[in-house]
Amino acid sequence: MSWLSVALVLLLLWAVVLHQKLLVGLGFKVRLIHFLLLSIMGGLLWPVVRGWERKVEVPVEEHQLGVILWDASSSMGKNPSIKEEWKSALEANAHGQLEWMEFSENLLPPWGEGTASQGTSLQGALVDLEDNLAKLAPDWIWLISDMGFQPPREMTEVLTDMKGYLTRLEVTPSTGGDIGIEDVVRDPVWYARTSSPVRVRLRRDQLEEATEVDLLFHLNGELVTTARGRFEKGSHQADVVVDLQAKEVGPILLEINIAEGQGGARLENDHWLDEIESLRDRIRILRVVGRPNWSSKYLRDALVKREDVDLVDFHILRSMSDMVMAAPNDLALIPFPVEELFVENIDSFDLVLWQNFNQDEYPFFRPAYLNNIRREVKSGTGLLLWSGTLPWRLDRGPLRELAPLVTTGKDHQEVKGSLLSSLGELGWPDALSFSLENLPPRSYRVFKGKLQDDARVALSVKDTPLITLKKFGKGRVAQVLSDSLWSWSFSDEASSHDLYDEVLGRLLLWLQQHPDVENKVMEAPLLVRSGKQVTVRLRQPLGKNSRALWTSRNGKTFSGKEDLLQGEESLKLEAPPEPGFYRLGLEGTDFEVEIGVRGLQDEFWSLARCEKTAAELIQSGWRPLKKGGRPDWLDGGRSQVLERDSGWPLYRHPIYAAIWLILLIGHWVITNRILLRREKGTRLR
Amino acid sequence: MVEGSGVQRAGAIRQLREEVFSHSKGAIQVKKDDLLTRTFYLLRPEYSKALGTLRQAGRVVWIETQQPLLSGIARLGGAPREHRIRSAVNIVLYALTGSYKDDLTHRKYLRRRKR
Repeated sequence: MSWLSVALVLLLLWAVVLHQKLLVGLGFKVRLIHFLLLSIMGGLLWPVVRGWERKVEVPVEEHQLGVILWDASSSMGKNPSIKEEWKSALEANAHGQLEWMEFSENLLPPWGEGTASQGTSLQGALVDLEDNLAKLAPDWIWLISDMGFQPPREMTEVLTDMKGYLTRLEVTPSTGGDIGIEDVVRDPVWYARTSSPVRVRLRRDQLEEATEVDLLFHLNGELVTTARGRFEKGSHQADVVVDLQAKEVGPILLEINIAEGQGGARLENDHWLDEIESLRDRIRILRVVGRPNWSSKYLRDALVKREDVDLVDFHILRSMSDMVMAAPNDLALIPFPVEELFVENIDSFDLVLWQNFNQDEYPFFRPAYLNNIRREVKSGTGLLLWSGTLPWRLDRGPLRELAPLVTTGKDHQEVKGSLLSSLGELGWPDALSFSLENLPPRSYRVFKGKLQDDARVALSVKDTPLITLKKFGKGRVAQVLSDSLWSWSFSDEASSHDLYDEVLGRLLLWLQQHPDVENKVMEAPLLVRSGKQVTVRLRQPLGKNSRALWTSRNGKTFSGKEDLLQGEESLKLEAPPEPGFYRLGLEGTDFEVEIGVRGLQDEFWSLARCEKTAAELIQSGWRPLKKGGRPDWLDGGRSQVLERDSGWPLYRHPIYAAIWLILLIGHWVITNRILLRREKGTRLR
Repeated sequence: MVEGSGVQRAGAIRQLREEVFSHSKGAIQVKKDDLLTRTFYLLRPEYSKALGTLRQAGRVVWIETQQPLLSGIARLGGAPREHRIRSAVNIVLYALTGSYKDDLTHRKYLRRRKR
């Protein structure tokens, strides 16, 4: 009984005593009416008192209603099979009837603006639940999320109103000194060679002294930068922001690691890997022309008119032996900015085009510049070598390693004949091959040389290579061995007028490794989960029995248990248990593909750990019900008393208050009349 | 490119131009900052204005000179010869490099040097 009940009872007693005095000497009829009036008023007060304290006994027979708020925006939420695992695990434990509610907190930054992608936000879900608490009457509520749960300020009130119903089952129990990658915010689409910000949020579970953590960033298995995150004293979070840029186009694997030994107790949250789509709006080309001629002009015009090309063009207009009888101010020549181009900004180009340029003739062209080009090609830049009228020596220096066909500069020959296109890496469309091969035989001034072992011929005239290709590191090199290709556009054949542009377009796509011309021999998902099955499809059936070899970024090899048999085209493989970037190859074959293996990343959780945590919580008397309460079913009991709002609506209704007021006024009127009559000495009957 | 001098030669040039480019309104004198004045040498206006051009789609398709250019190189000496050589070199380099000297890098550099 509350203080209000006591106060009301005392008030009633006082009223009775007072009325006994008041009613002395009155007739029976008046006494009766007055008594009835008071009784009605008292009776109407009763539900108000009772309503506040109404206790409802709810027999519980094994089943209770539990509401699970499932964080669909977490990484576990994105995976339906994980939810199913959770469901079956909880239902198998007979925790009662479960009502699943999904919420999404894709409202990054953590609690900021944005649109929930799946269902309501957590706040919305809780407000909704609070409004329906009486109707739904859940016995317990679990909030399952993978974030170290810190509600926003405005949510604190909601959580308080939920009283003891809410139990936060955080799947990131304190592990005693752990640091993990909590979240990574980045643009899903990048532009190649354009910086994109990546923000990494680190979380630690202890508020120890200020500490620092090193992060490593890899793009497609290549270390691109490192950064340091600093936890201030007393802070759980640390943010690290870096600017990254991808050189390639297409899907890119972005991998972030906490440096070894710095991530604390749990290793699974020290690694993060995801896919980025890298686009290229324009190909940035650096062209150097050693001596202008019609071929170089024709190529310039072809490049300039392409909307997807951003051309930085340099022509050498003077040789070292020129005698120009003019003052420098009379010349419209600019210095060749070699340092700016080949040292400072060489990494900003997607393609370097070397046309009719013999660098050996120019002392200002230091060997270091060629080494820089070699380095860039190795890391993904394209190189297009285009012959001209000058001697073309590619048999020494870094170019020897890069050139698909090594020329010595002197063997410059006229070759006449029809073209032969080799279907293959350039992926000539049939129509293009047909047009090329049906061109009338013509003469080509061709440099001959030795084709390197790993080079391929894409186009030849008779048996002399005209266009050759080679892969070098992550980059590609193409070589055009004649300066007469422009003549295609002046052929009598109408179909050949666009051939030059089409072949050039194909070369540009191949050099930038554009997905449109990539000839994949093996197709596999870009991202797989560690330890799970992966389906891989081969363009051609396996030529012999083989095994899958997963080679990690640091050269560690994981060999699958599967025996891959000759003739198979669709392979089911087991992904390595350790997350990271892998090259998946088939032993003894050319099949190779890059795959990202994700672990329990960006998740401060694991299902096994959570089940264990839940079990431990239950065993240790975990109370998902009201404050201080304990569900009987945990002890094998079959019923329990829950305190709930009765939900009786009448006494809250205005009509109810109005009736009570009318009665009060009636009582006041009667009492006044009694007192008036008494003063006048008349008797009421 | 067509060169010539004298009234008769000028008439012949005009006739040839009209035959080849029937819809043209006549050659336009090269302006001070025209691409032709800076493909290799920086041509002085008093010499560059001796050149007339026709353009199609932004490209020079016809160049005519009021004074004989190549024969002048053979016949004359001193500054007139030198300037004819310079005009001829610029015309050849225009044919081989096109709009190259209109690239931003060159324009910025030359503008800076003029200051």
